[in-house]
Amino acid sequence: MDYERGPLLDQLAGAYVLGTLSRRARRRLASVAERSPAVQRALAQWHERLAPLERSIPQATPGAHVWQRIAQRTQPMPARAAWWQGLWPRLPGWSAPALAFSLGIVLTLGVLHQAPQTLGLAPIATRSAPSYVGLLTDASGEPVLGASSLRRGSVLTVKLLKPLVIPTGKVAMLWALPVDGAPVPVGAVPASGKVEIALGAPSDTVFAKVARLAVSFEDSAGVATPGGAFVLSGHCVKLW
Amino acid sequence: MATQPRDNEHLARLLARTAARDHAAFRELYELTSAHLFGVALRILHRNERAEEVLQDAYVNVWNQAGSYAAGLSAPMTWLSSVVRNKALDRLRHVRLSDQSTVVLVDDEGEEFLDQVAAAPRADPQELLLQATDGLRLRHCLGTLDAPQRQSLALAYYDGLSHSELAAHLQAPLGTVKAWIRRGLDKLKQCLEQPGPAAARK
Repeated sequence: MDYERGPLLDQLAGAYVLGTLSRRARRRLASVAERSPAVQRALAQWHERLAPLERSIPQATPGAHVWQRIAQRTQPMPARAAWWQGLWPRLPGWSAPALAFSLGIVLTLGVLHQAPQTLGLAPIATRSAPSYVGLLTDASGEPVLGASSLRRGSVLTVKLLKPLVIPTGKVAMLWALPVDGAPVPVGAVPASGKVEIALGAPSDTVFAKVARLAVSFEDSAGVATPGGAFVLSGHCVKLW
Repeated sequence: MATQPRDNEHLARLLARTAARDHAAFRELYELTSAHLFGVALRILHRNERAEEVLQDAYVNVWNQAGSYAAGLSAPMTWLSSVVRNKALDRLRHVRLSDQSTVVLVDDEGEEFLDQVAAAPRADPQELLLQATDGLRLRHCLGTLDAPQRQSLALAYYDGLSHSELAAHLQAPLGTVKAWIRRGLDKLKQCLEQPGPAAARK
């Protein structure tokens, strides 16, 4: 069926917004809309036409837990003293900037030596190749979550390859599993889509000894040790 | 409900900041719009917990997809309510489907649900239609429809009845109901598109 033709599209879009389409027809039109600006426009026009009808629907206040759950699923992780910060030697106040400065010089030279693309000397396509990559699968071995971070990057990009069914009231937490220690919380992941988790330290520091990543369902994003079983897990690999 | 142009500008700004990952702006957006949107979800789904789940999913969607809001296409409140309405209707269809699978008689998909609707003390959809359109151009346009057309539009919009559920409720053949809806929407659109006196516009 050609959805983009005028009268038929308009009828379908009207019925969609009004709400009379069956489940299957709704799904089909919604998936066509994802790719078709014409369908999106027709739907938006019907929403706009019928919007005044909503005025008479009584307002109602949702429970406070609704916002809490939304916040858990959307809020960037609160800053927390991470385990790797303990690795940093405790030094007198003045020496930290000095050390950072000299480290900066060393790193810059190192970067220029190893990665000439910093100065535009390498093809653009290779510039943003992720260095750390994790692919997490569920119990049946299906890939569900991909994670990647640039070498020396401060952000871990997490992408859900298929929607994760998070039980109501729970948060999906991503853990780094070092070869020689207890699981370390990385951050909360959404049920679908993509999220960037701030690492608080360069990825090299965070993932140096991490062999695996895993996801468990927890009561809150603030837990320090995994309470639930790992529902997803996979290797964390350094590519270069 | 935020319907003034100034409110709309403010909501559009909050949406833009939400797209830029400003969580405080997102929270303000929630505080300004959640009561209206929860009402919309509750009207369609009846049950508090179902409406809350839909609301929760809808706002997470808004957080993830605020960047796709196109100010040229619709007012911010319309866009937000379309997210909630779509999720609520999808959920409703899903709920009824799973309710149905436990019922032996599946030919009359509307019957069971309509018993529930009849049992719950709720505002009559036609009543809501009148209240909503008080003094609006839309009211004038709804007045141009036949009674069955108007009634089926109201039941569909406020109670989320599908074509086949409407047919069961109104005890009319499916084809007839589909025609009421189609012609009703057609007439409404044509009437709304006619240039009218400025005062009668919404």
